[in-house]
Amino acid sequence: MNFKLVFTLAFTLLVTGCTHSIHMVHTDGFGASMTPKTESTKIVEANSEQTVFLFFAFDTDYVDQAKADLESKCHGDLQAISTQYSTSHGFLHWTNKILMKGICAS
Amino acid sequence: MIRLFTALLATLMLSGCMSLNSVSLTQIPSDKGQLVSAKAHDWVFLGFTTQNNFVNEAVNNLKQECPNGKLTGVLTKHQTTAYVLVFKREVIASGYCKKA
Amino acid sequence: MQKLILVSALLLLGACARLDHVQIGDIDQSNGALSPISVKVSENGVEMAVVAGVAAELASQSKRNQQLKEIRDFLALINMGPRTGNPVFFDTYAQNVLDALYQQCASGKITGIRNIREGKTYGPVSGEIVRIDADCIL
Repeated sequence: MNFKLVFTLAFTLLVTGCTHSIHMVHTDGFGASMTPKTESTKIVEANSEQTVFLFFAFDTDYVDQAKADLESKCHGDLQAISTQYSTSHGFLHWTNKILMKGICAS
Repeated sequence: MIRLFTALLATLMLSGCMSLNSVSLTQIPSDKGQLVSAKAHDWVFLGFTTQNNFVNEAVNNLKQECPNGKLTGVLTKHQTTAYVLVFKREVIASGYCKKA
Repeated sequence: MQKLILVSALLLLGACARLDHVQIGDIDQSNGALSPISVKVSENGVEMAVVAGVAAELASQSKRNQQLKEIRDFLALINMGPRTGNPVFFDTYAQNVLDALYQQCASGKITGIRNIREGKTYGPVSGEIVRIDADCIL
């Protein structure tokens, strides 16, 4: 491996550093009982992540953690909710991420 | 021998391999109505296609099955059947229609 | 050079629609007229390892070919993990779909939500799309 190649690899690492992939975004809960957007409604959000080294992951508790966190941020009705599941890629590891957002009517 | 080969080839080409791309289900109330379903598909040659309009077609077909009603327990299946060089992409949706 | 032009032309002409994920929500047509609403966000995706692999195939010198293959392997190592479509460089492009959907419907009552994850692919490059179609109950 010569100097040029090492330089190219380092440059590539800098440029492409970390890539991501959004697997799904799910939105639900805007039912007939949904309140219109007013001052009493606000958007709350929670996120959590899990780092996985070389395919070794033993639970998916980070999803429940995001849900609990979201619930704790709304003391009224948590109405419509969106859930985003994505992965950030890395060197021999990756990070799974959950982003949950909800409309809180208090 | 040629007949056997032709028959085998025809069977191979006509029998597709199916895979499920995604599936989802919404809440099912105890007071559910009549089960209705709708589907839509498109054919793709060698994976070349420029649109996913068949999804909207499936939704519109499902809506037509329950005019002025409420659809719950919606099961959505997005599946692909692979034939030789050709793929059939399909969305099948069903739900319980409760008329108003 | 001819090979490069040919491959580029094929990639540009071969734009393909990809459908990864579809979810259809409850559809309520009993509470009033419906008006279609939609939120669509996208980000450019690129599979760098595939780009390096194609470049390696096109390289005429064996030394350059070898170097590009090493870059391809390196890229695969530094970008490990599950993926839907091609990887993107920013993962914040879909974080405001809920707000955008809510703003499009004055009554706040939205039904028939279709959560769609799709892509427009041009060889190793793609547009990674998150689309939410729905109906606003007027």
